[in-house]
Amino acid sequence: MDVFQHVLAPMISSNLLGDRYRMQLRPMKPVLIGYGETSVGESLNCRYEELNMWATREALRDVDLEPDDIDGLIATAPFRTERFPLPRLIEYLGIAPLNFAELTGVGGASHVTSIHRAAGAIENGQAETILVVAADALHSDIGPRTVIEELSDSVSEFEDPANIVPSLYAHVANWHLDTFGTTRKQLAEIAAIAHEHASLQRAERAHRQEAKSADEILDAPMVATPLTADQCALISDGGAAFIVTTEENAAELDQVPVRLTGFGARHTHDHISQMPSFNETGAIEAGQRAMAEATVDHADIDVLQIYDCFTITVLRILEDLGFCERGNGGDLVDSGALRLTGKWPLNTHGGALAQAHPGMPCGIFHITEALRQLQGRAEATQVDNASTALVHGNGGIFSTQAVAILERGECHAD
Amino acid sequence: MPTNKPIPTSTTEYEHQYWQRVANGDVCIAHCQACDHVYHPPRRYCPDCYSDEWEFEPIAGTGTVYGYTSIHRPTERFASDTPIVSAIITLDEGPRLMGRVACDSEAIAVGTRVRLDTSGLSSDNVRLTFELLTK
Ligand SMILES: [Zn+2]
Repeated sequence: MDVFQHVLAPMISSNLLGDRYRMQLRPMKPVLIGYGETSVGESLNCRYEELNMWATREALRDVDLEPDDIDGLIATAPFRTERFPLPRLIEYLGIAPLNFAELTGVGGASHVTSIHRAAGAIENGQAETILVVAADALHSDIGPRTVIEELSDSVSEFEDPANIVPSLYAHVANWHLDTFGTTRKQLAEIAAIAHEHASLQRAERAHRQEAKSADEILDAPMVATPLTADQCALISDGGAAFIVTTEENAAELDQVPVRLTGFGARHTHDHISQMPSFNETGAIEAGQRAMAEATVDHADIDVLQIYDCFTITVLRILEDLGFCERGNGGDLVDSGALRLTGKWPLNTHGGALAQAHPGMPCGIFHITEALRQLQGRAEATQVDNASTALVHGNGGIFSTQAVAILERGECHAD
Repeated sequence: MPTNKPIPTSTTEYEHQYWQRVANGDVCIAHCQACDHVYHPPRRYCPDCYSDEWEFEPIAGTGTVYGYTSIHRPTERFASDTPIVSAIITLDEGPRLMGRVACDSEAIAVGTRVRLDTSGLSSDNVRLTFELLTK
């Protein structure tokens, strides 16, 4: 039996399913249309739900939508896990009822993955307008020392319980230094770039606003060799949200559409001691797949948003994504290509190293910054004519990798 | 006074067996009898073939440093141990595991040969500690 002809079509013609479902039987082209961010910093005095609502409010205002226009949600659990964070948020945000709701689960790779999940749900008609939101009060509600201790408790007992997360990444950093002759100063330079870009943001948008030289970054207290405190992500309050909807809605709302033209993900291990090779992460395959799908080459990338929980993360991933030869990450950093005026401006908001790291929501700012760039709203750190961005997410200890290519589309409304 | 280096408690039966062996100085890795896979950490089922026919086998204790760091800021209960030289060691049997190396932080590099020192292991201390193998 032809289900469409005998069951669905009569229901649609009699309007039993309503306008929304009738529309969704046509394939929809998903686009990102806007975003919202809370302030970031150390003492926003907001709880998880409040920060999520703050970010959502800014995103809805940005694109001129009401809570009732949202019919799908992708959210991120708080650092201290609620048993059922999704229904809690759906009710709290006033966006019920929903057709589609998911919780992210691959750490810092979650938000890049969320773009792909949201786009797919819109393409196959499960939802029309999806809110992706992530916010948490890591600094004021939980506190830096507690966060560090609790994160360490979650590390397997088969690794040394003396580890805080930076020391797990530090193993790979020393491997890179010993294997390729990369210098500590080259690593520190990555943090210097982040601090410079954060220093150019509006005050409420950056947790740290002080430009620092590589030497100053090397002078910060040592956490685990070779990573000094300034080469480790911040612990912040804050969050962000973005809206994915149909191309038709984007035109109707008069928003500059941003398309997801390529996506790839690759997940490889849990324990750092079980990472297959310190010379390659899943970002190799994730990046190749995303760039092939988008049919872009490195020369086409205008803005680079690379997950930067630590300086070594950026160095490792830049090589894995092919922005330089394997082992030459240090030279790429020295070349100036990653500066605002360079070929591939890196983390133009300041990243997790200097702008904000509110825990699980960290990677979402890399996406909202990409949207700012592609929509020409990046103020002091705007890259001229930015039309293609690469956004990367990394979770665990190089465990989960996701890469998205975002491209600015044409605004159809007059 | 509670010790700060106890046998981990939140473990499965097989993990508990592992830590008991470590406490006795009998450091082992899992060897699957069905597919010959040698792996770490131990699990109820072999991660390659899902067989439960595997056995703990003693390691020679020698290996090569793959990654390392000198931890200046550890978790609070290990604060008095700093700096802790932590290393990821490729055992001569193949698998990698994490341990500490009793050496100066400048004396270690990728490729350094090390040997397990079981003399300090007890039910109060199950942190694997290696020493430099110098010729
Ligand atoms: Zn097996």
